[in-house]
Amino acid sequence: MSPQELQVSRRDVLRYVAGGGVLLLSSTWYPPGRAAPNAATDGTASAGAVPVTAWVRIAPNGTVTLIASQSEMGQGITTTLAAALADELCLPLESVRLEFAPFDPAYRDPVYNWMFTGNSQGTTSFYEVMRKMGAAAREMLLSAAAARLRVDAPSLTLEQGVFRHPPSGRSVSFGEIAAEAAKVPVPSNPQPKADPRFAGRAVPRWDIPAKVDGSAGFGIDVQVPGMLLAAVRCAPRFGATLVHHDAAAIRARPGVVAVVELPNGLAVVAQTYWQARHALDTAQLTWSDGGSTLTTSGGLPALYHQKLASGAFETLKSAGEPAHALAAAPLQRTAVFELPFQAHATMEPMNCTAHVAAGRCEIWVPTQGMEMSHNVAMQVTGLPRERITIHRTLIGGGFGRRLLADFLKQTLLVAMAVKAPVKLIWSREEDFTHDAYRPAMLHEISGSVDRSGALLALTHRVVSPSHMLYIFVRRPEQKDWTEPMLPPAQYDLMSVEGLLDLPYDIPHQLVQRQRVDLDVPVSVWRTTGHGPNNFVVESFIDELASASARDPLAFRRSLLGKHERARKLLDVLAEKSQWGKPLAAGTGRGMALAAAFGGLIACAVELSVADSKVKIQRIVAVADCGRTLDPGIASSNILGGIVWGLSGMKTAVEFVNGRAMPTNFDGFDPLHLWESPPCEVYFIESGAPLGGTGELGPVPVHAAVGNAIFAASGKRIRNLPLSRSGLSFASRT
Amino acid sequence: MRLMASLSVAAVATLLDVVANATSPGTSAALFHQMMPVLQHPRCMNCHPGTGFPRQGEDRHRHTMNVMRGPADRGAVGLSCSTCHRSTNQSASGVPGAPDWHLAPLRMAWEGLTESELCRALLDPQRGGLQPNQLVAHLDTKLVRWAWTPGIDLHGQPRSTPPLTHRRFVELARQWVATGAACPQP
Amino acid sequence: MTHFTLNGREIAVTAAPDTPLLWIIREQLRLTGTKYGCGVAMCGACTVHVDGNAVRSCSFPLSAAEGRRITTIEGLSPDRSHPVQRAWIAEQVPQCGYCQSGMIMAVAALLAANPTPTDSEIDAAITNICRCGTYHRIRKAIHAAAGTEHE
Repeated sequence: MSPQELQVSRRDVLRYVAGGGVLLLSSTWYPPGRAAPNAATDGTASAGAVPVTAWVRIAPNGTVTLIASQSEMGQGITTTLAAALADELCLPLESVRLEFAPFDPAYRDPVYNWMFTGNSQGTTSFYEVMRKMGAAAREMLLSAAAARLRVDAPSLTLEQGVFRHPPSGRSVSFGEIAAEAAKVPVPSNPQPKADPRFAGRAVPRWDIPAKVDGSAGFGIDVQVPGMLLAAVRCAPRFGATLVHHDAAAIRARPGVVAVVELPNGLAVVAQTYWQARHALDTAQLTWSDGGSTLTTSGGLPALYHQKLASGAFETLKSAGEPAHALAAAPLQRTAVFELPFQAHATMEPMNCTAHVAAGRCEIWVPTQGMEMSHNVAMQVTGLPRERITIHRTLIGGGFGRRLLADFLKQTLLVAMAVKAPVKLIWSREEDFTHDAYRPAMLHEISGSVDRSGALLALTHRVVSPSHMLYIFVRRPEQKDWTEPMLPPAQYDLMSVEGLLDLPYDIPHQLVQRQRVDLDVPVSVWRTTGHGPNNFVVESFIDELASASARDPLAFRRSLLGKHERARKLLDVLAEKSQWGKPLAAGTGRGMALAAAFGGLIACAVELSVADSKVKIQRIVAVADCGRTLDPGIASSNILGGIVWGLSGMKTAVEFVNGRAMPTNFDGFDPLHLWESPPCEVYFIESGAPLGGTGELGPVPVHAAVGNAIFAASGKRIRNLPLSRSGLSFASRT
Repeated sequence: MRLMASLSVAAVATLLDVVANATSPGTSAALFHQMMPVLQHPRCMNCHPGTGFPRQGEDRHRHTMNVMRGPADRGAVGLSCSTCHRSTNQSASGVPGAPDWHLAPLRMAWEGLTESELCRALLDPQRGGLQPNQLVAHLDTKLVRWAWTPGIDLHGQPRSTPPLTHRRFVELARQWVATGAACPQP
Repeated sequence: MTHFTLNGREIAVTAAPDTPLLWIIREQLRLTGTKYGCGVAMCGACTVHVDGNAVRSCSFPLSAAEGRRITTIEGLSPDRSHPVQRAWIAEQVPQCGYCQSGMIMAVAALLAANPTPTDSEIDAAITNICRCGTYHRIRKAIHAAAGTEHE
């Protein structure tokens, strides 16, 4: 814990007390009359509330509002962080209100010094901070209460927002002393409770009631008085532009108010989205001839294999003498793996609402990238930071897509053109065809096993685009933040994530990478580099185990001599999955281990293969995130993550002459309920430093399934989707 | 040749009908043979499967989303055909529609049948359930007629229609029935 | 003008008759619980009830709503008391939650027609896409709401 994280300076507190503009906090919009009791609300709910710190506001009537720095996309982070704050304030979570924080340096993630939600680091970056910030607010309130009652602080008890002085029977509530508390110097070393009530317990999520009655407000649901609706289409072929459209004919369609040209497409603005969409769908648009020629033809673009065969690789890790160790060992294998492009396909399509008028800009958006959004808004509108307000809504699926601000930029351009509030919604087709895709990756991996059965050498060559081109934290003066930019090499390690720090004892290792530059947008996707890289490493380690006639789990365990925590994890996996238990003919068991996002996870899969159908019978996952802060939320994340992993074995994005396919769910078919196998997840409380759960679940799934397919059928899976191997998932019943 | 060339198209068609109406079983069966390309066309065959699920598309892939036949050929309980398929084609979603959209019952499955088998199935009261003279009326129902106005798919592409016009198909059926509804030899 | 009942109220709407009911509900009627996910009846996020039956409203034109009784997620209960909603909260089903309005409406329609579905009956009826992968808890919550056992 760095000193920087402990300090909420007096300057920060003062910033929140002064200046009306700053008090206009960002919000989640709810339809009147339907808000859940402790739902995130707009600023009016806490009007008059005193910001005791950047994280706690208290109204005169005692209503406590907690500030959520992180975006909520179903991963539960806002519940866990608010529970930590509420716990320190000795308040039940049901009694507090939540508000999403505006952009402010106070809410930056301390690791990257950047305000965003992603990379499964909400808990690792903020949990301990929330404990300390909650404790700080409690100590400030205690100090003010003691002063008000003219007693010593230790003589006071605290319960339900009321300080009591038992000897005299006098009491004072949070609401009565909030203003005085805000003036107390923020303690430099606040003391979190030794025994927090919520830690390690499943806390009911505050957002769930609204998500079962239709009142939850996503970006697509925002309603602003006088709002117009916009539909947008950009060039289906990346790099092409719009060369002709009949603006007058489009404007003549029912309800249409305006037609706005965008850098590579067109927006139609109307009284309703359907009118805008229908007018756009029936418009004759002519696109230029040029653009990307990227083509995948059911595999990887030819460029990838060319680079593998003849390009220059950069070495990112070298240990021992890998080339010699490979050549000298009695058992040596090499394999090539291919991972496809993937689409995020969030259930809520990209959208944004914006109003630019009278020198101010107000935006309502489901974003993971608060600071990115703020910076893009400044660039597009030319307005200074304090004139821009971003209201964050709930997010209908993020998965990394909503770190980008391309849809926000489009909305601002349209809003500035029509001089009215505009909600811009992407059709599903636009969402599929203008994603920033998880890039395809090509791996060549070699390994050798010595006479004693130890894994002697592992060498790995990766051909991949950078995953960070759109989300890399850049300097303010760099132009157009919605354009791709190569990060400095030392920050651009996502494509080799998980390869540089394998948990195994392998004396000779080499990791090399060659970057391939594409002319289609590629970016980070749930599991980042860990997901694809784990598929390769864990499938290949399985091949080496099999070639050595060793049990896959025992083989791995024997390589974890220095890693007690991982050995323990495998032992629990073996027990929970009944690893050694004989299986019926045609049924196989496979497993994989991953160190990712600060934690460890292992997964065992039992399945049968018959008539090209893979029927998964059971999946067991064991995770060690140091501590399980909330077992309900953690297991939801892991179980949902397992489904994400299985989906990723079915889906892929192809390119045909620079156009992305598919365009809707008929061609991108994620896992459904009827294919969802029985899953179990277990947690180990090792006490190690916290790891994240948001993206952990999917990481070992691909390899565990692939290895089980080999065990059941003898068929090795070295590329995805499964259809490339002539396989598909069967229904579970 | 010159005689034929000087006749109108309609007259030629009538002449051929007269020729076809000669009551010989071989000719009657030949009429059925002409009907087959319609019966085997995806617009018809997709809803006359022998499976517990419908097919869709030009390539006749299994209907997506695990859609099932259900207990009354109208979809699984909770996911009836009418959950998505209404009484008219929806161009907004690309979902086709006609009144009472549903699957032909299993006894009217046509998949995998030869021309001879299909012909006999149509005439078998246990299977077709229709007398030959009722067959023509059936071909005029809105659901059957849909095959000739099948609308556009979710990508805006028009669905293909059977190779004969509906009118010609019904004429053939009528003639086939009138000539004794003979079936081709196996 | 098209007349229908929505969540128990008489409604009259003027709009192009081929407007999908989904957008009438969301825009003219300002009920945003029913979601747009795909527009081609493949994801189920737009599921509502028409005369008690599940219908994907992206594929249901306004003209077909004439005289019908339509229920959206907002009308399922006034206070989250429908057994499916209670089970969804008890089992903490949603993650991002965007698919769940449609999912709950599909499940409610299933249980209205078949109060004790088996797992394979559930598989055949509930085809909605959940990108967050909450299927495990969905199945559990359906059995909880139906009072049946997970097989």
